[in-house]
Amino acid sequence: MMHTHPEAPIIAGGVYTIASMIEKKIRPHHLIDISKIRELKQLEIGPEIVRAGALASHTALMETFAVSPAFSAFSQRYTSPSIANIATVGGSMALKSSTEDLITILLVHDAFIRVRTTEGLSELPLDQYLNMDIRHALVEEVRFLNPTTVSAMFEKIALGISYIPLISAAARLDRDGRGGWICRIATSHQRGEIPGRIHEAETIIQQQGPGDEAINNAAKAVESTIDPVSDLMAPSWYRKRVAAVLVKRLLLKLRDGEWP
Amino acid sequence: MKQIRLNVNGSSYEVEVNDNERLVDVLRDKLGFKGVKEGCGVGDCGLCIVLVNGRPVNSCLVLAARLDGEDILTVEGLGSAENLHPLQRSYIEVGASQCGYCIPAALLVTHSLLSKNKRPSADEMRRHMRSVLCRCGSYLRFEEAVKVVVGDE
Repeated sequence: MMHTHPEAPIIAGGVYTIASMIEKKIRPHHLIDISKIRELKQLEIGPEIVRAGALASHTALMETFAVSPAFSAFSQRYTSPSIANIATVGGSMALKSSTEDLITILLVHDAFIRVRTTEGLSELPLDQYLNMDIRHALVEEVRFLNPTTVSAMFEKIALGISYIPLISAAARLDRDGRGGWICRIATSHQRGEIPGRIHEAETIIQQQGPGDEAINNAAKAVESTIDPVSDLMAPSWYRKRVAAVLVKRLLLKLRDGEWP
Repeated sequence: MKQIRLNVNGSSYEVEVNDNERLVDVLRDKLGFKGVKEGCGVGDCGLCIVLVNGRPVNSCLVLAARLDGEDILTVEGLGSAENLHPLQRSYIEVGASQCGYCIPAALLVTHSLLSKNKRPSADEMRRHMRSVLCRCGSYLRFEEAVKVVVGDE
């Protein structure tokens, strides 16, 4: 179908699509609904890796990984259960938006995304996918580290009844088995309104370990590296500062084992 | 147009829908379930919530054609004027309803929560009630109503 109708856009997520239709931002002549493709709803949980089909719901993830502090926070700070029941993993990924808390969380779980284009299937790191201008790509699956096997947390400052994040951050801190540290840090606004990992901050922790000074420096690196949008909710400088505070808080909690 | 079957409140309905027709419109305008209210129409207020296979869903954000064969519960299926559901009785008892516009959705969200968890914590109740925007601010009364039903008061 992508070959025969190259002009047809792939629209991210039913929730977003219908809201956009109501607001007349989009006026599709025809809609092809893929929600009945059972294979895309599957959630395959391996001891180390989880594979989530694009149509797996946010609720399914929240319920499956309720013991994970990151996913528990995802659930606690979510807009509402009624939206989580219809929002999907694939919809969040395709939107590539700071409003999608799941992206920030999956970034610290080393997620890979499988997308289908007219050239075929490709699988790439989520961080790379977020920075690419891929059009006509159908998200099929996301695979990520099993949340029950890693130490990751998520936090966000949100406004309004929709709990839209002014800024959100996720962090992961694990031992690498050779005496070193694995650190992942991501925010909802790495560039403009696109989430992304903060490699500079991760490197500081991985090289120096999670001491107080390194954590302070990592937080400063977050503040100086990200380039968030300024909008009605907050100016860019404020988002940078809050991101640094959230990241510092998360790293300290992870280091000191302050699980919720 | 597409012919679909919706199981609403325990009865089966054959209905013709357009591909782009929302569930809220089909339930209200084609099947006459006026207890389903529309508020914002973009998934913020939750007034249009119905239960699809037991889970709360904003009916303004779902295309009816997607739900062929699914089970839907609206407030009309919860109880009747002659035989109120215990939750409806407790809402009346504690005076949870002011303007009443959000009450069908609030009842369904509460019903869904209690079907999964007979004794939800206050945090859990509040998180679930976030699905519904009550402009009268009756949230504390919603919580009281749940306590009455579960026997805490």
